[in-house]
Amino acid sequence: MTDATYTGSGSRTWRRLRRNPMVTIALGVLILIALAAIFAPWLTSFDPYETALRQRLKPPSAEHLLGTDSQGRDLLTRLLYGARTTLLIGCAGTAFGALLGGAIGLCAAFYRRLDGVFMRVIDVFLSFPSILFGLSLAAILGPGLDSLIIAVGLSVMPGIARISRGAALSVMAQDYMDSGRSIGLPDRSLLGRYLLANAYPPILTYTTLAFGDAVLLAATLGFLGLGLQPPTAELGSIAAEGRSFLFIAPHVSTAASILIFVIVLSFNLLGDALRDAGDRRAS
Amino acid sequence: MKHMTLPDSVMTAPPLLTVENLSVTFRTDSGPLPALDGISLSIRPGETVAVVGESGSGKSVLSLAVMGLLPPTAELTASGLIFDGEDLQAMSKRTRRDLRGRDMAMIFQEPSTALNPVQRIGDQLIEAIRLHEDIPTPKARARAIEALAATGIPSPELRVRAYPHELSGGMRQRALIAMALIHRPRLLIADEPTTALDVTVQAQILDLIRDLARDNGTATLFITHDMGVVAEMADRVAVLYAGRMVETASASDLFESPEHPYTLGLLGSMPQLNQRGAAMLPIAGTVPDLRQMPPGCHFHPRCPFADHRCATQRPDLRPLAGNRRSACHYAPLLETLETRA
Amino acid sequence: MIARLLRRAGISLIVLAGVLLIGFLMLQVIPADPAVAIAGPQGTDDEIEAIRRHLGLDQPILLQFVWYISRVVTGDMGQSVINNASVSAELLRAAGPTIELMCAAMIWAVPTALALGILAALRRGGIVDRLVMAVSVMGVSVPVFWVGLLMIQFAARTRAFPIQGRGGPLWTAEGLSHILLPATALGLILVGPVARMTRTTLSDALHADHVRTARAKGASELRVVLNHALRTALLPIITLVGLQVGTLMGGAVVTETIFSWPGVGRLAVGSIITGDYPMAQGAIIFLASAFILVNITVDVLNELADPRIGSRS
Repeated sequence: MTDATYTGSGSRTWRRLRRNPMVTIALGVLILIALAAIFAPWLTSFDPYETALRQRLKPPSAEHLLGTDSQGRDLLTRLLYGARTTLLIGCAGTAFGALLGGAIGLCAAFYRRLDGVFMRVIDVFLSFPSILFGLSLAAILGPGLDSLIIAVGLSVMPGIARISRGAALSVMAQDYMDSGRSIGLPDRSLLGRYLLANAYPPILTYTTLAFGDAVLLAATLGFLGLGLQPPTAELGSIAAEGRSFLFIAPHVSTAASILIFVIVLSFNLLGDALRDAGDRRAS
Repeated sequence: MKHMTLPDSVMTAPPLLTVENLSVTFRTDSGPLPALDGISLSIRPGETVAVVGESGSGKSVLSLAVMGLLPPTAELTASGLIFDGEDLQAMSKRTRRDLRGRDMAMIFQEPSTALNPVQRIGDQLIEAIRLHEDIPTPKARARAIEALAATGIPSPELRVRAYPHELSGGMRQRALIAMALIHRPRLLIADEPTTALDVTVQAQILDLIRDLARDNGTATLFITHDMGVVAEMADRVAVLYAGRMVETASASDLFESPEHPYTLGLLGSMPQLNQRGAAMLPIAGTVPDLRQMPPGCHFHPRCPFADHRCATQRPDLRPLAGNRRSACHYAPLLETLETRA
Repeated sequence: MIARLLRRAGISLIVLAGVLLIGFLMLQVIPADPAVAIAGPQGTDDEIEAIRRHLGLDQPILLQFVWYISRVVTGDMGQSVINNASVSAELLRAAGPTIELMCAAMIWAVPTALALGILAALRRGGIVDRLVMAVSVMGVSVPVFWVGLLMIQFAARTRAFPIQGRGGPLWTAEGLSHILLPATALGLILVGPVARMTRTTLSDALHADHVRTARAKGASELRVVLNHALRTALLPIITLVGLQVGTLMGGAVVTETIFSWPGVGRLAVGSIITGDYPMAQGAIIFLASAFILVNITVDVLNELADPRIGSRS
């Protein structure tokens, strides 16, 4: 993954992507899930938090399409709201990581003296178990939204930093950087208006793809109880709740896990397809 | 030039390698890619034949096809591929493999990557020896040192313990030559063996290949784009352009009077000949995309003599006087130029 | 070469110091004052103040950090606020099972992955190749906890294997049967990525010039693959496998939690959830240091094993 070249939105790459049926399926699934999560309140008549203890752990039926959970709440409703939370954490965490990693990568490329140190540290971060970020932050800030977002951000940051540095380095080699420097532009405008403006497409592409890992980490931390606390609907913690009733009502954990799997898998399939298309274009 | 010294017996001996009507096509994502089209060629024992052309002319594909080292995506057809009286195409993989390294050997262009980076030079030579000869390792080691010494590597008994990165480019190529010639093969294929080397080392390596080949009675198929090297090495020359043979002649005839405009162009880009007063004839343009060949003569878009006929009608490789052939409608060129003038 | 190693070790030391700083800060920002915690609910203000002085909590924070480091280095990480057990002792007790689990996972997963990767590289586009690619993309996408949960469901239904805890040393039947499920679940994380890396590295190596030279020598296909292509590809593969220790460690945290395996990962998660800060920071420092140590080891081994690297510096 580390040194893959994401070549942004070259039109040939896109044409090749569109021909790949996997891409269509993955994109379709993701759009469907995202829409369902956004419009959850309008899609279901149930309340994700109102408990109905007499309705506990019911198997799927016409009324409750996916059955109910241990508190008698409609599982499908919980999953829709859970996907909402999980995707939001993924978004916020990825955005945070992209800002941080992008800044580090651009600076490493722009201020060559920083490059060596920055990249060595990034290398260590890159292979650092992302769950450890989650554990540390949950320990420092306590389990919750902030620590989740920061942990997710820290885990996607190193990859984005590398991609940004690579993209920025190729922009740095362009003549207009020199001409910008020669007319005496301050570093701030060089970095922003020249470097970022020209290097952002691959950074953006990679960031979108890092989203799959972000969701997986968020859900895993949620499962471990290091994320949002019940009763908040979040996919990982729904799977964890179902764990206590695994033998009498396996559908709770299973449904939540499958949803996470499908989201992450779709992102990874997209990523692979994009990388292949980029590779083939390069060769 | 070397061909003058060839004994008559060589010229009359049956060919060691005969290639007849050889075509190679690569399967790629964007359709079939014809790399060689109808090549015919033969080499007699002890003879040196140079195959000349720009990159993309298919000359390396030719060497890999003879060695049997084409990648699986390549499709080979030939009406004859005979080595020492045996049909290479009909041969089992096993028999073909036994030929490689023993009866036919190859030297590659990049000595820096052609050696295994994590194996000592000596071990690579010993492997080459023991693949075809059942002798104990210490004996093979002695042979390896001998072979390195024969290539002029100083203190070979130390070099056998070296890793490739510890040697200079010239020394690596010497080691590769030692490895290729260790079983005194009857055919040596040298694919641009000096291109990656310093100019000062180039001449030494060429001398070495020529001397060792002569001592061993080895025939050499010399692949190059450098007419200077051809003049240095070759008895006969075959000129490839975009996968087809456009001219073949003895080296002396070829340099004396090239009979294809492309050869003229190649000679024009050779510095020594310019001084003799030959007209400077740089080749304009580039080798065409092998997937989108121009109709007619493939060379016509770049040819200074091309006319309507060249753009529509494909010229065959046809025999001319003096045991040579050219694939130009207007060969012999001199007559044509005179009549045109 | 030594300079390179030292530089790498230097970077790792800096990272380690960073980890310690985070561990220290963890204890600084905790909502509960350790002195209050130690004094207990009946502790008077005077007692708390005395404990505070005793612990050095009234000293400047930089000084506290230095003390903290010297304590950690000497193996004193304080006591659990839950059961007063020594953090170091608990960690030492939990380290064994974690190492055991990770080794058990690697022992089956790495050879399997190597074999799959080699087969895939030899027949690009073949059935094994497609299978490896599919398994690897699914492997990095599947939540580890789901794999664990599925196994538990399966084991409970068939009653074939124990699903909770450690059954004793591995050389006993009881110990083996207990580790089987967690080791399988944890190993599965590795198979995909390692197989994929093997495939990529080996297919590159198969196209290398020196492999063509070996073929030109007349070496058999088996010899070409094993002695030449794989031999040059092995080092990068080993390095990449070494770097997967991070993934493995993350997986171990989840696996241990699901299968109630008494390791450091479960200790870390449990102590964070119960608010046992000394234990939590101890476990996190332990995991992070172990990870960094493994990385340095992989680096050193790589430098020593590759004849090419020696001359580069």
